[in-house]
Amino acid sequence: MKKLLVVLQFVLIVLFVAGGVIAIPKIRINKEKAEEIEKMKETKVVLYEGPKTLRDATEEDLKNTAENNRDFSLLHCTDTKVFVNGQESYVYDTNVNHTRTWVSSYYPPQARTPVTYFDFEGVVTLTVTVPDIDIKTVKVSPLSYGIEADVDTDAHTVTFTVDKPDNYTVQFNDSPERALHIFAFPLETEEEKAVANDPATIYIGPGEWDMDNISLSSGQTLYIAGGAVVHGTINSSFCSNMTVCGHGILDGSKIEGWKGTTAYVPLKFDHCSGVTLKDIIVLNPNAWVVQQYDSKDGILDGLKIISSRPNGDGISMQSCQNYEVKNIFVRSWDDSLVVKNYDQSTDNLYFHDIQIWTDLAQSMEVGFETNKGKKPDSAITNVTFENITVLNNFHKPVISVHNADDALVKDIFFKNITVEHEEIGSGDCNLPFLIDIAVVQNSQWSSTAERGTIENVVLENVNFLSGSENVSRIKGFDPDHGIKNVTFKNVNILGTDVKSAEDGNIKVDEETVSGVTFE
Amino acid sequence: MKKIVLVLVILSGIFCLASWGYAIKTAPESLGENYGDITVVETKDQTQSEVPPYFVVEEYEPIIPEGTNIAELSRFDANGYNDVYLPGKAKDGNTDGASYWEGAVDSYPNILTAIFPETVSAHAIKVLLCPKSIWGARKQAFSIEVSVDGENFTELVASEEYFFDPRTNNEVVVEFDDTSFTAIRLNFTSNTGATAAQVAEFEIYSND
Repeated sequence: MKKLLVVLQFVLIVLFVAGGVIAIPKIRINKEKAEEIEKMKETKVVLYEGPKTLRDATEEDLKNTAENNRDFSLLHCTDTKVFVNGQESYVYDTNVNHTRTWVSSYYPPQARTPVTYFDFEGVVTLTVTVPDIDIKTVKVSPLSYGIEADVDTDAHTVTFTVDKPDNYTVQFNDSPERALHIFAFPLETEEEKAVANDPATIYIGPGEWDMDNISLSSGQTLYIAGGAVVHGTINSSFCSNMTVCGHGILDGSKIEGWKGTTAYVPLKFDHCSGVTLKDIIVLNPNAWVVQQYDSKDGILDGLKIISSRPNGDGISMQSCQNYEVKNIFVRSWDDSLVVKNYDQSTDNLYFHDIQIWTDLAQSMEVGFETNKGKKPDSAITNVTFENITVLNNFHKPVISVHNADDALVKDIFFKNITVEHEEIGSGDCNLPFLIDIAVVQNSQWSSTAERGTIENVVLENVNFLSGSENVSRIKGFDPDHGIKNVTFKNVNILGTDVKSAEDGNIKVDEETVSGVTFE
Repeated sequence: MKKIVLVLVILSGIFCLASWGYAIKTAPESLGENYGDITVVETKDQTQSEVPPYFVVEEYEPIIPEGTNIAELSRFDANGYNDVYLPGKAKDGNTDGASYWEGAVDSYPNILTAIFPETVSAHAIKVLLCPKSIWGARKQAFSIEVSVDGENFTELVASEEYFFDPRTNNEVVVEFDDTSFTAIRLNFTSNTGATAAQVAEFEIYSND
């Protein structure tokens, strides 16, 4: 009996100690949760009412058809609702393009997709309701955040939290259609508010506005406030130190598509210096979106861009020097980020912390035109793409360095590139390569009789997470106009570490290429 | 020994109870979805899209010099042009889009000449750029020169910097004493809006 009592006492000790130990992680989790809740309590959110003048989108508006067959206007979305900490955030319905084929009539069929935006600091709970979608799967990008959404299939609702102002995209059922783009700005700083309130600033407040165009003069600042929808374009030539900022929308839907003749580029700066473009949202451009031509010393920061019409390149850097392009979201129906020479040489462009969704053409393109201005000693040098997340790339190469003229293209870096999904080779793609580095002569792109070279291209920490299997290409024009020194360092394609050309299915033309290494 | 074991039982029990008690006590209450400080920025009460105050332009009545524009009687020539912007585009009656002459890039002087088949007289010229606001305001410096033999030119109006502003139709009118010539030209030396001179229309006004 005594023995049994002793055993019982020891069992009790073990159980009590074990019970106490089990409680310790719970205490730690509670502490973390309490900290999170404190952070949540201190959360500040700024929501913006949409203009009362925007029409509600109807079923007819959501048909996938060319712009000449339906109202192309920016609309108020009715089939997707977004709640931020329980409060409804206005959702716009803008145009996107799922066509993966060039349409020579300039009238490709166009779809629509919902977009919402707000500012916050802290932690926000986002609830997305899509009554017309039977939710089977949900993907919240960037995947690097590891966001796991709670799905209520009966309520057609998805809920998740985010604690960092950034751009988030919600895709349903592995489809690009009706993907929701959420642009979560940080709260405006006191400095930014001061700029908005400065009497010298050209201020456009909440509401719907017809601006037509403004040509900014040196030193001018245009502020488009959150809640504003401004129809028009902004340009400047031969000026310095202009700023465009604010959390509002610059919209081109009232301008018909350019059809190869008249491009009304929303943000066009030629022969300028000290350009700052910050935060604004650009939707429905009639052609390409941001043009910096023969300009230097600029910053493009936090822009959110969605284009759907032909030649809708996102950010086109043409013969520029010393630019930082960062914190940007680009969804485009042509190259998302593109660097080319139309006049003088390009040098020192730094693209970083950017999200890309490329519906047509290429995500990060250097070329093809490297000396359209036929300048002596033309070059494109020191171009870096770093911390880039490609959400989708549906058509041509994700990474491309093309030299179709006689320039020297040298020191091009791609670092920390995550490709969440690609379907290269879709539609009429004539460049079915994941990565394409090539010196070419091309009737469409070449301006010079002579060919150039490409030197020192580095791909480091590049990861293709999902998509179709495709080859890559490294090919010069001839032995005198070739490619030398291409480094693949920690590159992974669909789960395979690329330690050789064979690993990566990379076709290297031995006659025109030298110095390809794998680490 | 018995006492030690008993103390251990009691201590472990206290540890267990205390741990769970603290875990339960510190369990945070869920905030639900409605939390934080939310500000809603209200929109403007509008029934239709409006022009922002800064962009409201006072109505402007284009200047039409006295007489008739005789430019169409002449042949336009230039000492150079850029891309597709040929001299003839400066007298096609169209100021829109790509319908303008642009001189050879970075190679001033850029000279645009109207050559008449016979002697004419004029008292004013009007130089226009596309009036759309996308053609931002700029200054161009030019002199006006005339010739009676088509080869030797004399200065009629000395070089001056003229302001072209889309808010005032992007037009410049220069009047002078009635003068006879067989050719009249604009001799450009600068343009703050481009790398060469630009003229959408070059109109020449005569009372003949």
